[in-house]
Amino acid sequence: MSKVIVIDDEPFVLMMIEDKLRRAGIQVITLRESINALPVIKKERPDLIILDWMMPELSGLDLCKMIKSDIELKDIPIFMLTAKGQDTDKQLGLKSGAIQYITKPFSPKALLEMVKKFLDRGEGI
Amino acid sequence: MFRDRLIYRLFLMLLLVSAITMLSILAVTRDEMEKIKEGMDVLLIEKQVLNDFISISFYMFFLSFLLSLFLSQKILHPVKELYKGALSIKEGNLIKIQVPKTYDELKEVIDVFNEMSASLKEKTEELERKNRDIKDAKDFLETVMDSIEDEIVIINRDMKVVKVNRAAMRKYHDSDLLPAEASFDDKDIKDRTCYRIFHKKGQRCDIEDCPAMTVFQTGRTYRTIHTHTDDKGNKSSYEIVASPVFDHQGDVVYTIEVLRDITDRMRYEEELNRKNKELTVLNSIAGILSRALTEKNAIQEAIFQVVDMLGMDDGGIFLIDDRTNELVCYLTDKKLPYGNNLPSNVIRSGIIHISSDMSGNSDLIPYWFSELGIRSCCCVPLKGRDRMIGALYLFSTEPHDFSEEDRVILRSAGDMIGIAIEGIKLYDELKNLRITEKGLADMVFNSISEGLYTIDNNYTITSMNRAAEEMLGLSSKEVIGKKCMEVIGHREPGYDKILCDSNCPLSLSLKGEGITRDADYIRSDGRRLSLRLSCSPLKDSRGKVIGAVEVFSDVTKEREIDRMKTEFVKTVSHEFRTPLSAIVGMTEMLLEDEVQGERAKEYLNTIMKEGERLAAMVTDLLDISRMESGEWILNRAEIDFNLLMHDIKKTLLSMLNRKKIQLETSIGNNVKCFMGDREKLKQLLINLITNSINYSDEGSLIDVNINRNGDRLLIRVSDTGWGIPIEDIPHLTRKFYRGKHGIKTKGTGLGLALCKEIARLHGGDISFTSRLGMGTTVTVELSFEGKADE
Repeated sequence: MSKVIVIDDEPFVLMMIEDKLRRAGIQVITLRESINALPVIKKERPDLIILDWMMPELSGLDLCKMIKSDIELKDIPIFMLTAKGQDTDKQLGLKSGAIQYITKPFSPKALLEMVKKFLDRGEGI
Repeated sequence: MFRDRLIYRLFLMLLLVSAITMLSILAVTRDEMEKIKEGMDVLLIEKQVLNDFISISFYMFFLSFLLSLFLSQKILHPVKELYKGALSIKEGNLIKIQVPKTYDELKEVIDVFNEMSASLKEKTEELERKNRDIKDAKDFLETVMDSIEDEIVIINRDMKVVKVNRAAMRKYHDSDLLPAEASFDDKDIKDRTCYRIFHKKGQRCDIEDCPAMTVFQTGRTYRTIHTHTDDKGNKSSYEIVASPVFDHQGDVVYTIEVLRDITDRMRYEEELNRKNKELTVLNSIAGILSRALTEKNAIQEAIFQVVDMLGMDDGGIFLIDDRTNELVCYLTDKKLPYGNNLPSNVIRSGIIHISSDMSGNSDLIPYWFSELGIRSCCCVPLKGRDRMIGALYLFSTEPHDFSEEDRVILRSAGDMIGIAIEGIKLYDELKNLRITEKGLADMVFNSISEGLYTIDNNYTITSMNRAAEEMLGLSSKEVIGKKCMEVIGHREPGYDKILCDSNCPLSLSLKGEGITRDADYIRSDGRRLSLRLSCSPLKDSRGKVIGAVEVFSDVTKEREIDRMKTEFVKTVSHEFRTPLSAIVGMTEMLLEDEVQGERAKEYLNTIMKEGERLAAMVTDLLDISRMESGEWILNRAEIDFNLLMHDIKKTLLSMLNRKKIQLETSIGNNVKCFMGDREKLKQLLINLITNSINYSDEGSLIDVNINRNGDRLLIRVSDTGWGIPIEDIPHLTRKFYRGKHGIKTKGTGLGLALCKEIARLHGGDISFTSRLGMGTTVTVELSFEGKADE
């Protein structure tokens, strides 16, 4: 079973993604605080991380860079799911190591499709 | 010596004669003695002796005579020669006496005589030479005298002319008194008195006025101008220099008068003086009129000059008023119809009118002069550039003769005054026009809010307006004359690179192009300004580019607002996207029946809550919009702060609980009757408390204190949160401003701007005190508006 960690400070976003992915048979771990995310990631070694950008204390962008600079974690793919919709933001997000940049509001169905597509191409469900 | 030798010689001669006589006697005696011895008769002897004696004596006498004759001839010849020489000298023939052989004494006498004669001859020759020299000098003097154009007359103490030169002869030869050629010896002039020569009627000059008399009396040179009158009554002016001639005793024996006929010169001088006076007056008028451009009274002064010069009483100027067809007195504004009167006629004809004695011809007198008793007048047309513009009228209460010169002066004065008056009119018009134009230009130049400066073709700043000075922090006095790149030096927007090298907009304008662009400017105080520049070429009347003008406006605030608006749009878009995610995503899942039951209800609650959040954000935006348009007004009502805080706590409960923040409230009893806008104060309190929650860690404390201090209502919201960076504090109430902590939290940057406006509407203000890491206190101070019955 694929494992996805979702990090967002908005509880309803976490709730929505968790519901959607779990129904598709994906194990979902949700985190509201980015600052405490790194140990969890190291422990869980997810197949995919879905990461919000605008979070207090530690932004998703910085967390992404930290993961990508960690030799053990750098290969974990990251989807950036953010309300920042500017093209420059998208470029910045992809540059930091994210492989997918999804802007809010988003369709849970479309998100699931992208996750499934990625996971199928990789390890599969 | 000489005498001694002569006596000696005479003695020798006598001795010789005596000796011969003695010898003769001795010879006779010896013979007689011989005869006695021989016995001769005594008588016979006596007779013989007597005869012998007589014979001997005769012989002796004869011998002596011969000898004397011989000796006297020897002595007397030189004496004779001396006598001849003396006679010769007496006759004036200085000869040398030639005595080949003579006695010493006589020879000495002759030598002395010869020396005397030679000396006399030498002296005589010297005298003759001197006489010749004197004659030559006299001839030279006469030649010089005759060559002199001035008349020279030498007069003795009897006032008789003793000598005249040729010039004087020529002057007076046609009279009977002097011959055509006279000389010092001329008998013709010897008995002539000077005054009979100079003044043909023979009247003697007054003693005080007679140069010769004055010289004889004073012994000094006397100069004067004298007038001589001939028998026809013609007068001639002479400049006379009379000088004394002294004899060896120092007495004045003659007076030499040098007379120069200055009749023509006097006439020219008189003419010159008259012209000079005329020119002086005209020049004076011209000088006065040149001031007339700025001084109207100068015209009056010029009229006075003309009046004074001509000896008139007064005058005035009439100018044609084209609008009313009247003549208006230039200085008094009195009016005269432009019709059949003297000034009008003169203006029409352009000819000077002169009345030396008009004896009551009132037609020639302007009516307001009629009581002045005018007897003479003149009226001169005043000519402008291309037409008559009026007339100058001068009058006198006495008859007045106007000379030809007066006419010339009047004509010149009329022309000058005419041109001056026309000049004044044009100058006034131009001045008014310039004052208007220049004043307007200056006003515009210094009143426009845009900065403006100009440069010449060498990039030297030639002017700078007040707005530019203020914006750039420069003084026009400091920068005018300096190169614009040295004192201004615009930079690329957002960069430090100076534009002056290749992108200088002014250099393009100097090539004739107009250009608009943005640039930055860094003031000396370090402030960076964003400027919008508009550069254009400055062209002269022929279209030649003579410089460039740069007009610029400070768009720093606009740029900042633009930046903040961009930021706001990004923020708003972010803030909108998040609740929209709930609405869009959860609705989608609900519609696809992916959630049911309680979960579905939770979804719907979330959708509603996020929808409300969106609505609140829209309300904030609308409030800001209303606030900016001035539509925001207060709906005052009595406020129960306890109830208000209860509602607020209820609204914020979930937020507080989530961050485990404790909200303490203390409300004074003295605030009960406060009249305010409940909804707006609620919004204010919610914004402030929400900020405290958002910018505080979990477990923080928030304290809301509402109290009255005199006529002020004080609302203090304190927290133990992160605190605000000091550099953010001045900008907190600016719209869309989000401080350094903004990145960590969600918000639109409108909350505190709205709070400040709410406080302002309640007659108050908002202030912040904060320490980073320690917390923040926001104080809202409102004007306490109580109920009317309180």
